[in-house]
Amino acid sequence: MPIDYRRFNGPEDSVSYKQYTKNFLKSYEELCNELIDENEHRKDGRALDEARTMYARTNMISQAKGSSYVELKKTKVVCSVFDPREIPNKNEFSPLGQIYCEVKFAPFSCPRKRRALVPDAEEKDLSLSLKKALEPAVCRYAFPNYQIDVFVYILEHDGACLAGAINAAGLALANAAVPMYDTITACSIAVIEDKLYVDPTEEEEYVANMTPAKEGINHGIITVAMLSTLEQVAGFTQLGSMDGTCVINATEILQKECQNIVPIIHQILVKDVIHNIDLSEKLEKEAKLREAALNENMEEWKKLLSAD
Amino acid sequence: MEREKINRTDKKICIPGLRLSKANKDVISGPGTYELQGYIYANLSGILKREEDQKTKITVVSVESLRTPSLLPKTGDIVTAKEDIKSTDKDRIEPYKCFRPGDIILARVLPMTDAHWCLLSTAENELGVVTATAEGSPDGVNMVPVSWSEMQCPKTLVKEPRKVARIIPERLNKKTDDNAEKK
Amino acid sequence: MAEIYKLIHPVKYFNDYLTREVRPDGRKFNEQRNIKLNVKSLKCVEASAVVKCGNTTVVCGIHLKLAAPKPEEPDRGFLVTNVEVPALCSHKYKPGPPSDSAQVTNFLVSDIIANSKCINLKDLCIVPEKLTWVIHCDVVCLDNDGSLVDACIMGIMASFKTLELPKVLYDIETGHIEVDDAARTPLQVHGLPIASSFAIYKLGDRNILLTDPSSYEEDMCGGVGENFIVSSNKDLLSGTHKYGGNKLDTEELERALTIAKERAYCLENVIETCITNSEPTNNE
Repeated sequence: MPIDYRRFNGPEDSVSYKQYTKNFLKSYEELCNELIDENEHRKDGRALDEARTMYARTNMISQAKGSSYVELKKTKVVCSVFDPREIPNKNEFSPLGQIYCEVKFAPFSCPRKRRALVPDAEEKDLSLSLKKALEPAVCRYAFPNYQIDVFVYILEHDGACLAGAINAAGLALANAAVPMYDTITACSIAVIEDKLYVDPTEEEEYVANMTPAKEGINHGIITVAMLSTLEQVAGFTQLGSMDGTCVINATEILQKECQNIVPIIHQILVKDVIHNIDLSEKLEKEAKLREAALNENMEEWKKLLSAD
Repeated sequence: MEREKINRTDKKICIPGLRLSKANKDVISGPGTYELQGYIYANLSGILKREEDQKTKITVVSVESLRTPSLLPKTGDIVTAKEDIKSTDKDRIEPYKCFRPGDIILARVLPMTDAHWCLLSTAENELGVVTATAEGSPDGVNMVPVSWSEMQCPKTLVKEPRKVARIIPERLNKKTDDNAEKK
Repeated sequence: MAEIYKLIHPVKYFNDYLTREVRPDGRKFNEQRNIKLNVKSLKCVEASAVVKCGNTTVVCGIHLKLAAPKPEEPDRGFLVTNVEVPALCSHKYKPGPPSDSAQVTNFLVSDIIANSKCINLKDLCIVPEKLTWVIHCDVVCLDNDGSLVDACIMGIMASFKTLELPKVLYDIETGHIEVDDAARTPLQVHGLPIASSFAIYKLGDRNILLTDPSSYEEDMCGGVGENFIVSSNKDLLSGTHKYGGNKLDTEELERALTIAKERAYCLENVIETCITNSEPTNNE
């Protein structure tokens, strides 16, 4: 890789110390068996079809037009949205506005390795998936020839990053008062052999992404984004290899999971509106006071002018 | 508790994708909403508004966002704009007689078809320069209009040509509040 | 209406406040913003800290690596600090490689940490000429509302204070490495460098010194980012920088240094208290 002159680089041949710890190298079978105990409970005590409770909030970043924060236990995602701006380097008129998405992992986000600061292929892939999922949800006719920037930063990666990014982006867009057709929610599932892990953790995703030695075994990750009121699928990504029935089963479960998140999102958006009502009432009061002060100023100024 | 708070404010809160009403001849969709298969849905989060026209009896359903919506001014809107003439245009005499960079103008948005520009028009008596600073005068001192085509600086007494907007004060307040800000 | 006034007459709006001896956000000239600090909030790194100074938010995380030391410095480890200012934190930045100002901030923070000598690189060496620790300390700015350097230094120091190095067994003959994850020793931290930012504004004939400026105040005072940064480790200065803004005479320079000193003591307390408070939760 070329040297990045804009940042500080450590020694080239450094390796993570974790390679030398006892539980670094484990076989696929060992990892697979570790994920679930005899009572069908996962490592964090959840059942297979149990999603993590989502915590989310809006107005996270003061400098952005709209922003949000989504937390799925250890997975932490921040998103900010900015005012429309002219599309750079464009030479023809586009009647629909563009959404520019950028997903980035924090250098310290992943437990297995330090992330490089320059964008890698995985980040580009997530950015594109996010863009494609958001496009059907946003009224792009409202800002022709302009683009809206959506930046997602993953602070800690413990699985379901794309789902977290889509949920966060949906909230941030609504918070920025970007016109949208519907609220957008997303959920992930990891497929390992015959088991479906809803809302997987990083460990489960890691195993699901490994190619098993035996052939014909289902493995991979599916993420679905839904528009809740319109009951439309906005985004769908499937990684790995699996048969058709597995995909159909997983999609059905995911659609239900997406609906389960909707009340949480709605509650946050309503809270946001109430917060804005309170704020605008407060500002109105302040503005009146300020106007009175300004009028006083004006009088002084007029006196000065007449004195001249 | 949330519910109590909603009732207290006595306002109907909308979020994107909420079905608001049936759409027909008498009920039409306004700003902040869209129409799909005979129904009106919200596309912004904010407060629901239903306004009935006295003459035509048509109700306009709209959602009022409490923040400046992230969209571009529509054709026909009146906007407050800050003048920023590109250096190449400065050679042309015409705009120089009407506006200078840094002026604040009121203008109407023309249909947008070009890839690079958002066209504004000031071809109405009410539209034109609102505030301006004369060349070489101290920062923050505004010129006072002396006629529809001239403004004067109160400190240096320099007169400069401008296309002055005829402003009725209340109208200015209302317009700047109502319309989207464009830098 | 106030927002529009601010947009149309930015200078006058700002002056209106300052002539009344108050800043637009209601602070006094030498008043700093509220600070929130949280350590060990990220679970997948060795040490971490989240700092909020007013709206400015930074997250710091530390990754540990092993490497062979440089031949010319066989008994020294590596300390690599990077400050990332992504486009998400402010409307001023565009996506893509780091901007010039972001690179300057990055360099400045690394420089202050290195000059303050808070970490002795010799402490990081495990076996001279063979094996040493590499501390990758990454700071990410999530919300840039001014005085970014202050927050970065605070985040880095709070992370260092909670960092514990695992035990490493190195067989000199075979070169075999074994790491014991459970047995850890805390990293030696010498002193506690603190940075204090100021903005300098010229109001008529007066020079106004604004402590802990917000992004808006930094913009109004000209230049990119903070105008004046004082960093000190205990009573020793470890870097004083003046970027743009209005001129500063000796009297004001002295005043700024006094304020910075007072602030350093205050922030030291904040960091120490936060770390002691976080200890019991860690044992649970």
